Amino acid sequence: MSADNTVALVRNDLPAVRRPVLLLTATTLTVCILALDLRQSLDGAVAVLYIAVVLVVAPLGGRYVIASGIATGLLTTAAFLIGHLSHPTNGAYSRFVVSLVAIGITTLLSLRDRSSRTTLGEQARILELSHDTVIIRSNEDVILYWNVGAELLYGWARHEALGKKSSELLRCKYDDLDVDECLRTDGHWSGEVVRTRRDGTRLVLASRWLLRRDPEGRPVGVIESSSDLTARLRSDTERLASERRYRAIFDSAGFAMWESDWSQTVGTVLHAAPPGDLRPWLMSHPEIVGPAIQSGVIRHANQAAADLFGVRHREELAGANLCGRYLESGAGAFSTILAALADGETSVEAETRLKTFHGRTVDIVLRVTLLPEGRNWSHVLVMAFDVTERNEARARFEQASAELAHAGRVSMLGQLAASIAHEVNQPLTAIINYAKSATRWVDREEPRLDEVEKCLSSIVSNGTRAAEVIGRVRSLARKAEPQAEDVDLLDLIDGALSITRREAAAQAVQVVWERPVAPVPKVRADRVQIQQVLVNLIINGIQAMASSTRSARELCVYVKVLPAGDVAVHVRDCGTGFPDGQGTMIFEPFFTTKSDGMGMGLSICRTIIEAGGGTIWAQNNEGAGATVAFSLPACTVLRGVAATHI
Amino acid sequence: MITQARVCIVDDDDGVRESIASFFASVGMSVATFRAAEDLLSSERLPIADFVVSDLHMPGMSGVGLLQEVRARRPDLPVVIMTAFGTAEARAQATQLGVHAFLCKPVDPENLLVLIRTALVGDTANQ
Repeated sequence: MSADNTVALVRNDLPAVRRPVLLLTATTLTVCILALDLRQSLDGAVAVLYIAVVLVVAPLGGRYVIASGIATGLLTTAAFLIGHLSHPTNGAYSRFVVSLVAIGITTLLSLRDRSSRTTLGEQARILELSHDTVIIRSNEDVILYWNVGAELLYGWARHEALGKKSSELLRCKYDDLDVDECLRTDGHWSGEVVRTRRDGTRLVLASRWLLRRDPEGRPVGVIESSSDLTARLRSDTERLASERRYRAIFDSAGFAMWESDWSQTVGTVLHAAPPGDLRPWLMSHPEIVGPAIQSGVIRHANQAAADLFGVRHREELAGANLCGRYLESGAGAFSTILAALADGETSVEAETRLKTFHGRTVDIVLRVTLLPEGRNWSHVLVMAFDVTERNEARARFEQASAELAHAGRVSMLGQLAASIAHEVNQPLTAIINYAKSATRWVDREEPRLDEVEKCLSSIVSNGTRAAEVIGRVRSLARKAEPQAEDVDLLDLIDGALSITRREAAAQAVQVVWERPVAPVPKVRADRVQIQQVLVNLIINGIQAMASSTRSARELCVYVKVLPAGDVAVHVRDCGTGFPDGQGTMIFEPFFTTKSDGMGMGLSICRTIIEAGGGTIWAQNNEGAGATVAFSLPACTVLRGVAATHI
Repeated sequence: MITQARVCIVDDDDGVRESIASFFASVGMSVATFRAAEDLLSSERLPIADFVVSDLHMPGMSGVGLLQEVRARRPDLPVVIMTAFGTAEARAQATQLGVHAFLCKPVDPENLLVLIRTALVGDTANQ
């Protein structure tokens, strides 16, 4: 088969320009044959020549073949009737019949050929549609057919490839002997070949070759189909590299990491849990956590994990579970993790505490991630960060802060000693006075027991008042761990103003406490420490006005509920204010404007407020003096409390 | 009669004020109490008062301010000022305004009684 034939085979459609030419040729031939046939001088089966007409129109399709067959048959019959009807002879009859039979056979063969060509054309189109390359080569390795897949993969267009030797064009590399042997014995071969694209890129192909034979069985070439393995090989290589990278990261990570199979764990949890929200159920059923942990098996771990758990080799962890390693306090964290994963999260973090195989207790932050290749939690990556030192440092810092705050309170109480004594002396004085008064009422000629009773009642109330002052001072002096509770700031402000009353009076400072009538949300804080802050701010405000020459010395305390629901306490004085730009520096340790001050008071205040999730700030007033304020998050936002100055 | 003296007591501390008032009442005096100096100055008791006992530091007008006002209206009315933290400056000012006595808290009501008796007996003698 020549190259042109192959193309013609593939391109079965007849170009539109050839149709009129063929029809004209067929018509001319028909006219000529008819003219010859009508001449009585020729003694032969001229009508047999009509088969040429049928063959000429055959490329135009089956309908043309049938039409031409019928038309030429009719013309043959007509010519016979015209020429021989008056004096029919046996010879004329036999020529007429032979002609009709010849035309009929030719028509049928043409139709059959047409059908075969159609089938071949469809098969050739399928080859065109294939993403694989399809090449037909001759025995001499000359390319006879080159499909679209080959054009796309190799980069040469069909017209560039046809007629070239494939071994030269594609610089093909394969085992010649093996291929030849296979083709000769089996008639086909499949394997990998390496070829070069037009741009020089080397390709690895999976190729299947089939030996073509002629009708006598002699080899006439090869038809081959190939697919590109390069992308797959590259993908395999990349996957392998990715796996190696993961392994390298896993092994060399500076923190503990292990991969676990939690498929049994999820089964344990889901089997035990009722339908519905898993999280609250898990939180209320810590007993399920133990078996769940026990059914989670470590696949492999890195050396850092071995170090964390206190085993020598990481291989010792493979196949183990962490049952017994988590302390009771860790159950909550594990419940959180299980609930989050059951909720569909793929990564979750929780802090817990566990015991190593050596008995050491460590605080760890666990980050649990469901790996993509796993099903039903079969591949869970657990990263563990040892935060023991961080927690210990934080605890030390909190302890130091608490001690510093206590030292600040003790110092503050020393500063307030005279005020406190006064606050105790006032009710004590009243008690003595009432006692003397009661004595007088009894000693009268007509004892007034009703007045005595009033005196005794007043003695009790004043005694209670004195005890309250002492109680407040004792709570401030107490050295205890900070304890968060729901605190009413208004009560604390009342107490703080009571303790600092004498201090204000001594400095001739008028204290204005704009106590709101409407309820104010409680805040979550340590009562003693917040009272410390309040007393500190009030004393600072009073002292800021001590050197003021202004006649009006007014300290105003008021409360605001902020839009976010926080409660803010403001202490506004009319003293000298802060020097420019020092509004924020006053909260720094050792910053002071007083000659005898340590500069720790406001710094401690900031530590206390920020530890409670609040904010403290200071600013100069538009007129005289400054305002120092702090806000704390409310426990619950009371309805109907406007976010305004109450 | 000393025991029927009309005494006014001014102090913002309820306990102190009312306990002194109770004591004076127990000896038969007529006592009126005021939480602030301004209350006394606007009271009908001032013109007929025989004696005034006042705290120094109070919200609003101070004890010295009250003394000054009383001197303007009742130059002869004895006024005793009490304070828990009196300054030399305040004492000097009060003395200059003719304070009857400047006492440090806690004040014994028996001593106040003596002061009142002395003052009223002196007045009676002078009359």
